[in-house]
Amino acid sequence: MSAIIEIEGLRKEYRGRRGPTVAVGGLDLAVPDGGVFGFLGPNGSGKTTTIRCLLGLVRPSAGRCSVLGVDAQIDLHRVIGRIGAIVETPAAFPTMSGRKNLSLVARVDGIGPRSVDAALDRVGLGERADDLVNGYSLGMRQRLGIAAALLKDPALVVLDEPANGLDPAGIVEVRELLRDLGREGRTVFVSSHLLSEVQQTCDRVAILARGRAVAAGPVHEVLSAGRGARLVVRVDDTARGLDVLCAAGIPAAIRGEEIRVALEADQAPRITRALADAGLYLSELRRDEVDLETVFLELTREPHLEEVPA
Amino acid sequence: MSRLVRVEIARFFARRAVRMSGMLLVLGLVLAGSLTFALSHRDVAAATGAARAAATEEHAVCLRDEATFGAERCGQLELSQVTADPRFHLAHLPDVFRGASAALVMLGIAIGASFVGGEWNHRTMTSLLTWEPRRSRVAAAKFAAIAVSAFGAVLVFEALLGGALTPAAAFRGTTAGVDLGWFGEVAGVAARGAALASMGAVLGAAAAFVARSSALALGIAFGWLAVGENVLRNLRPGWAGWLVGDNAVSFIAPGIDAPRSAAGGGTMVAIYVAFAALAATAVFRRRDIA
Repeated sequence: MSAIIEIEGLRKEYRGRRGPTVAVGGLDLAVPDGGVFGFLGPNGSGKTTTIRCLLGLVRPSAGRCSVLGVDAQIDLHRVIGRIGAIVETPAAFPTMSGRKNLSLVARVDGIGPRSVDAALDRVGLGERADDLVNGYSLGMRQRLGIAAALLKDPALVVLDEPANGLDPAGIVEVRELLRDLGREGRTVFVSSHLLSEVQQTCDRVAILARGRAVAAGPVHEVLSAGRGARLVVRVDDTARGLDVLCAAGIPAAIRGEEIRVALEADQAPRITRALADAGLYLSELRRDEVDLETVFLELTREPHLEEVPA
Repeated sequence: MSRLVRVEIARFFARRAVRMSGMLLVLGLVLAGSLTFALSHRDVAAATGAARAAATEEHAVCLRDEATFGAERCGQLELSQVTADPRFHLAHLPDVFRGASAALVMLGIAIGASFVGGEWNHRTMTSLLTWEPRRSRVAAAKFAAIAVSAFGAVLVFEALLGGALTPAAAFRGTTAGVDLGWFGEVAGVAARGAALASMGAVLGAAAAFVARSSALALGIAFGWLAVGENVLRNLRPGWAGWLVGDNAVSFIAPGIDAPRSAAGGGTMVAIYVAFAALAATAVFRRRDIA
């Protein structure tokens, strides 16, 4: 699978009164062509700085970024017509209407009013298009930014926290929109802190901490990374259940009201047999599903950072 | 590039600050035309009589209070020297344009600073750069747009001002001295005023590229022109020929007090403005856009 974004050894330092601050500290990342790629990280982990480097807004201190096959610092203009982007809160002139704001940027690329109308309709702003932006809610401004990003019919859509300020219905709409864009064959590179949204929307993710990628790959791989296979068992007598399983040579431990068993799912019959032979009957046996939030919190904890190679 | 300039011109005229300024200028035109029409009249004899009566009374007061003013100061009153012409002379239109130039240049600086400063304030510069990442082009397009727009807008304003004052001259004043030579002078002064306002707008925009704020840009521009140059002028009178303000005055109103000819003053201002624009572009190219 070819990479539409390639980042190698990206480093960005900002100079301040208290010395340099490292925003991105040697990031390597490859985003494959097509699908929705989630770019996750806690505040200050370097997500937005990375996006700014990709869009040529910020000059890296070291390393390189390539987008659609060109160096983002040198030849971005050759491919910018195929990139739609919003960075942080979408910016618009508050004393102009949404339509006027969009029309002005559209004309930079020779895009006509029909495309503007279509983009506004696609994000659900068609009816409010002629209202002044200073009357828009944060969510509406966010939609306007997404509409601007879609105007160019882009191959690559870069969205920085697109769900910021959206109400639950708006978040669902954005989720659907991102999925649709991915299905249309575009590559969507989306940074977000709404981990459940990312888990539902993205095909692949990268998790950033302190300016470095601590995990990257398909969502299911990232979710299972570094974890042994686990099953969760519930029986009426938890203590006795644990004794039975241990006696049967099954690695198990109690956590709360549950027994955690370190076995692959296809080994589940061993558990049921051992417990049934001892007269214990299962009330629950399931895979220990882990969510992105748990993985994210584990991966972005301080001690883990020391394991990341320099 | 030309498309980018056209977009920037459209963006310029879509801005509320520009529209508000335009409305204020139109209001000013209406007021100027109306007041001039109301105050101008052709009864020269009556006006002269009133002026002489006023001068006579003033002289009498002076003599009455001789102890205060001194007889020498009151002097002899020669009524034949006292005249008044209440007519608006269309031939004086070039002077009106020269008088308006200072205000138009200041407005140009403010609009230029607001045009670029607004992009930083509203963070739309970031959005624009995701459409055209070549910053030199963006800066050049903005400078070109503001220069063309300000030049055109001021020319239109001056034409409208001439139009607003013409009825006062035609019906209640005089058009004496309006000939082909006058048209040439009016066109020259109007064009120089528009060019100066245009250069002021570029200067304001350049300051805003560096300051990233309309207010700070205005502070820099007016601080230099109103304070910095005045200090230099007083400390080093010989440097007057190198100051922006003095060269601007030479460009608009060349004469005895002006340090250069109109062409020389205009060239100097253009060089300073071009240097400011190039320096601002260099800063803009190197800067991280947060």
